[in-house]
Amino acid sequence: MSTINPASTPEALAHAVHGEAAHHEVGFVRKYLFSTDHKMIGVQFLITTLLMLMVGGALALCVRWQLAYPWDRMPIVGDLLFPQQGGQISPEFYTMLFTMHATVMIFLVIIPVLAGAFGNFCIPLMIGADDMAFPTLNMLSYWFMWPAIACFGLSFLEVFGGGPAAGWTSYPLLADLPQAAPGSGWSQNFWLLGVTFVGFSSMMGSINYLTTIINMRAPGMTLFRMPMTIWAMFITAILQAFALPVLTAAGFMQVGDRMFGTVFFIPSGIVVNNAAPTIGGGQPLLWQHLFWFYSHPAVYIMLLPAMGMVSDMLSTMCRKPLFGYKPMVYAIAAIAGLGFIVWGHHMFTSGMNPALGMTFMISTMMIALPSAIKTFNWIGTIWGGNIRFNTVFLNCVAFVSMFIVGGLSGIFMAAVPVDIYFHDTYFIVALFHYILFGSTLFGVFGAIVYWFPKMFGRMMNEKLGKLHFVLTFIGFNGTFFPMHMLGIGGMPRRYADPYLHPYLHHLQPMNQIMTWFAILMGVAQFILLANFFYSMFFGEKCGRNPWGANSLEWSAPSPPPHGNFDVPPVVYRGPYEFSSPLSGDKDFLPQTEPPPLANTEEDEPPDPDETA
Amino acid sequence: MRVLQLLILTLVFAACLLGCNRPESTFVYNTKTEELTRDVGSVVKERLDGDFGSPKNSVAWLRMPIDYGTFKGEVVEVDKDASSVYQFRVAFGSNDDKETGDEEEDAETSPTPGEMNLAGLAIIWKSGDYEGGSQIDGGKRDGEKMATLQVAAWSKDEENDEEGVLSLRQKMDPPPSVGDTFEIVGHKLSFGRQLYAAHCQHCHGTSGDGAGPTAEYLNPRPRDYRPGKFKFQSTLKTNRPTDGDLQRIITKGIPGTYMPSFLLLEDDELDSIIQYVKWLSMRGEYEIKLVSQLYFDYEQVVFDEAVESALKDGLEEFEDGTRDEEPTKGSIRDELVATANADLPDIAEQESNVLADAWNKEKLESAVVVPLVARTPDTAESRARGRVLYVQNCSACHGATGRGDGEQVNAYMVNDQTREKYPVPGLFDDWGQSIKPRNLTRGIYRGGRRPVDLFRRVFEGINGTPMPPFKGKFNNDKKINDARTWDLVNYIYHIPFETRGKSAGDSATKHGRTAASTPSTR
Amino acid sequence: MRYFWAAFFMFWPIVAIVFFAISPAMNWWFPGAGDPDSLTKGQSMTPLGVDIDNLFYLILIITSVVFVLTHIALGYVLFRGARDEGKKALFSHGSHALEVMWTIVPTGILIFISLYQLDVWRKFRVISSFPEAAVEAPVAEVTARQFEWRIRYPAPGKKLQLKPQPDDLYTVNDLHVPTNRPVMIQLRSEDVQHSFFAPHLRVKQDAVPGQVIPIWFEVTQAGHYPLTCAELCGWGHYKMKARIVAEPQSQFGKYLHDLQHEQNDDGVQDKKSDDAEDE
Repeated sequence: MSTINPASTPEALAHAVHGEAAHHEVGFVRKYLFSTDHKMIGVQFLITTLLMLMVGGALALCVRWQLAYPWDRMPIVGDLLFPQQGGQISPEFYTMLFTMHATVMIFLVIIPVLAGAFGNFCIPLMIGADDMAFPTLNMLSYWFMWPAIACFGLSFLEVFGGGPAAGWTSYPLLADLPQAAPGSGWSQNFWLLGVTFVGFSSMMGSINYLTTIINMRAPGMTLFRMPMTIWAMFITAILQAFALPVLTAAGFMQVGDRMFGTVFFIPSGIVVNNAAPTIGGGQPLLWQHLFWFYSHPAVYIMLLPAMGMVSDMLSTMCRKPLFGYKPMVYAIAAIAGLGFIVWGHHMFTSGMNPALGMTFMISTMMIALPSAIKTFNWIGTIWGGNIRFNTVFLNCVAFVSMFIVGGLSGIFMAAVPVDIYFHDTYFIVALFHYILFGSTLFGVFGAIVYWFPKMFGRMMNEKLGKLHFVLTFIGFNGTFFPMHMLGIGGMPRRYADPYLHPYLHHLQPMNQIMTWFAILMGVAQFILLANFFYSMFFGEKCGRNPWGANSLEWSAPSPPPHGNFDVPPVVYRGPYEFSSPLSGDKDFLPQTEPPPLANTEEDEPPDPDETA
Repeated sequence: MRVLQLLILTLVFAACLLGCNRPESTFVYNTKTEELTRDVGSVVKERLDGDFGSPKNSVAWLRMPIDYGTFKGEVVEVDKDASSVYQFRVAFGSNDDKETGDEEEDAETSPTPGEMNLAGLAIIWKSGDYEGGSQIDGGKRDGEKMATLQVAAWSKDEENDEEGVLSLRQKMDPPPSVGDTFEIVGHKLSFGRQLYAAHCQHCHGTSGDGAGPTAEYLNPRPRDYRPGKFKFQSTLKTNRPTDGDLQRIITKGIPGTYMPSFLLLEDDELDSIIQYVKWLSMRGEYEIKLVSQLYFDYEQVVFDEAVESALKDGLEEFEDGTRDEEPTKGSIRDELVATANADLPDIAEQESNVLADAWNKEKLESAVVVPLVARTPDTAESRARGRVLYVQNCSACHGATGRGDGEQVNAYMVNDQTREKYPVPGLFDDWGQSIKPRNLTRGIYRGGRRPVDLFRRVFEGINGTPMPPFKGKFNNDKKINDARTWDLVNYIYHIPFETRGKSAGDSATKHGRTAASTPSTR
Repeated sequence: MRYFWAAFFMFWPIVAIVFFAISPAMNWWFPGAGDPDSLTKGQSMTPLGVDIDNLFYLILIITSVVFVLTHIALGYVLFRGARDEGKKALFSHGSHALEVMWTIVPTGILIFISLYQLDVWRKFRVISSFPEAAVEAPVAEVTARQFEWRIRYPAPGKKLQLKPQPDDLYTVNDLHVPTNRPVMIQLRSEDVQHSFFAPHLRVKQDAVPGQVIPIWFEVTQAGHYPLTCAELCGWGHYKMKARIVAEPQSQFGKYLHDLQHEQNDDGVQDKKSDDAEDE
């Protein structure tokens, strides 16, 4: 699609182009199930991850119930699985709960929803391409999620040990030696297999995104005219491409240790559960280095796309250009670059060389800087804006506010001595939930409402959206803010019964209140699901550009047909020209709108995108 | 908003479903109990449930030598006009028998009624019209004093937590009189049950059968208390352990296994758990004893055959005219079952007395194994003598070098109960689990590492395992025998420090060296 | 309605600050803070721990100031946006001066925090910086295993050896150390990874199988302090409840002697104490 057509009526152009695009009808299966169209794949990812969000959330509620009422009957789950104990769960079941909560949320929700759902849907549309560079690979990247889901599902089965129980961090030797824990038998093998499949899916995606963004931008779309969403997706894809192989290698090494007699991580002479002593020669810390080498960039993979999307959404909803576009781009690149050299901050107490501790401390401190710059720029974007206080905007402001909390609490852990106290306590749990849920997930909620009209040609219900936002926000803060206090109180993570320890006894009422806020939050997500699925079929219909936004996707029909654009886009400016003096009566100036050919009003060509 | 209304309705409906199925924790019956023919089996189960109850509604059978935990009290005020009452004011006096008179110590160890939830516990009347039990049903069994009325709730006064209003689950008709004294029994059992559920149940099982959810993953398996056998006790093999033995196991744990140390339990928590574990063990053993008396005749298959042959005889008798009615299968069954059930009370009486006697405190304390001589000094000569004894008596199982690889490990052992050989070579314990002779080179002594502990292991053997008692085996004179035992103990202590060849696991790592007490051996 | 949203976003930071402010008094703070019966009252019982707490408070002040300022800024822009509804937005692509300013100032703050805490880290972790007194006489070897802490002391008067000695003293879940003197323990793991975490002493160190890791600390006040595990080690991770008993040197010496006596109990040495033990 690189021919430049002179501006004319969209209808004429559509007819001219119509013949070019191969107009083939596909059956139900090729259209809805095994589609190679990036938009359909994006929607598939979105729906799958929304469902997985509920699964991960249910697991979290079980964890919270145990923390609120340890060893009491656990509704539903305890009744079904532990009837003989009166519904009281077993300790190894609890270890499985938090392991799978994290695994599902990280690998099956956050990473796929950002890169898979929004990356897929938005990238070609926002750069003016008709599809991804490798459509079939794209389809495979979605379908590789299902073997992963199947593996994780199988790992729950009792016959395999009842679920992996070594935490999503899967540290040896707990995960390496099958006899070290009930869930470290076949469940752990399935877990490793599932993570490998998710890795394949992510890798395929990242190759696709990099190629598409580099090669398939519309004419006039220079790098510094790309919306922040695209920059974020681009840099995230680079992170994925370089970090993921290390995790995959580590996973293979662990599989080798468990099944093929290798001893990468196993020292000698260890006797677990009265099994034969290990032959050994390996080093458990090696796993931590390899794992965190991926998993730290992973947390940026789970954040950067949301940052990019929020930048775009804030700009649109405030009718203002993004404050400091180039600094924002450099900041995202800096976060990604620095993100590769901070992994050791997960290992300050691990027994690694203390000198390494110092170097990682410095790089971790520095990574706070670009995040701070971005936060100031978002506030600057809102400043002086003509704000629309709608669901999208509210979710974005929540993003900014929660990100401030998460970013600031990270500084405590960057200071190594303080990390000695806080490592593996609830302070860390608070920190990463404020980033992953408070920031990323609110960003995702906003993005769902924002791009829903483009996906389905209908608007989501605004009242339900706001109700969902308020309940989620209250529930979220009620659940996770007190975790800072729990961490300061020295409550360790992953404890099935913290109140066994007298110094934590007094924290039970707080945990109970947190559990009820969490239940509120969980129930509120049903509102989102209801809104989503109801509006898909019965929502108010909308045109191409219901938000009055500038980027390229809003010049395509809603929803876009196969091939995306009826008028091949040509880009004339950046994506943030809101309230520009050049835009005349309206307060936005789309990227594809050609600049006026003459200075006089009469000579201005008709605005092809008038129906906003 | 239609969608919202529909959503709320769905969620409320789902929430109601949640509350529907509320399982209660239950005791598991032995496989042998389940194999009894149905009518006999159900009567046995009923008896068992009546004498011991369920986890949440335990029965404090006063015949069993367990300290159930008692609070003594007195009625101070009753509604005089009522013909029957559910509640009345009480004052609690001095608490259970453990009081030493030292106020501070008592305050630490014995809980007060004010601290406890008394719901579900039993009342035994000590004076007044109700003395000795209760004229209301649910009381006596075979003329014996059982747990009678049950407390529904106890609301203490704000200023004084030893006075307040006691509410009952059953009515008292007529009401008690002011000044009647009573005891509330079972707080230790109830507290013990809660603690057991939180700390022990997931391994040892709700019934103490060693088959909790975690058990299948552990090596060795958690103890099954029901046969009444405990491995690491200070008493003779035929006896039960003392409370002190159980306390030692709980506070020190069993190194080399998944039984951890619960050192930091409070004293009253520890005491309650010990009583509860004993109670579970007694329940299990009682069940086994009842069933064992009946199993031979009333196991399902055997019973069916007996019914068949009795039917045949009965029909013959009918034809002869010696029987009035024509017997049917059903009537023959009923006759045979009635015989069993008629025998059952006597069997139960007898077995429970035996059980109560077995756990009797004084008896156990007098059965503690105490060496007759002090430990022989740990010299090279003593160890050399010990080595000789070791080679003669121990190496068959424990191996020439103490690694637990003696020749018995490759022999086929005979199952005591079925009289058949096990299908695989090696040693088995009385719970049917494969067991290896201890690897003495590791320096891990499961039953305790004091000299007296090792002495007891050698002297009395280990209950429930193939480790036999060696008392009297080294010399006819008891004192010399004990001295020889000490020599053997001295040698055993020395085994981990003997120089041996290097094995694969003794390698050095970059940051540290593995200690010699963990060599790599099979 | 739009003012409601602006207020909504200002409400929660105020709640957060109030929550933080009342936490110490409500005993939602460091262990023992706000609890009149507590031994520690929120303070750390080791000098290094005090350094850690001071660093924590410094960072808390800095982050609180930033939190307040950024939320004031956020509140300002939200209220202004609510007030100016309908007015055309400012057409500004950014401000170079502001970018420079808010790059340099945070950088300065972060570098300051980095350099300030290097020394504390060195004292805690770099073996060559450990106090002499601690290194030359390690108190005990603590071996973490699933799911308890096994402790090995050298016999009184002897030095702890790497390999177990016949006269070593063993105990479980009960680590005694003398007060007011730097002490060092050797941390090991028998099976999987664990972590030696004493919250009141602000000590934490992972126990890695195959390694022996020294930890040092100096307890300033006698008492019983909880010791617990801070690295997932299996289903009993929460059960690794142990205690550190810090006592004056004389009592510590007596404790070791009593332990030795008990460990050598042959059932006969003193009948009376044997009966008491069997209870």
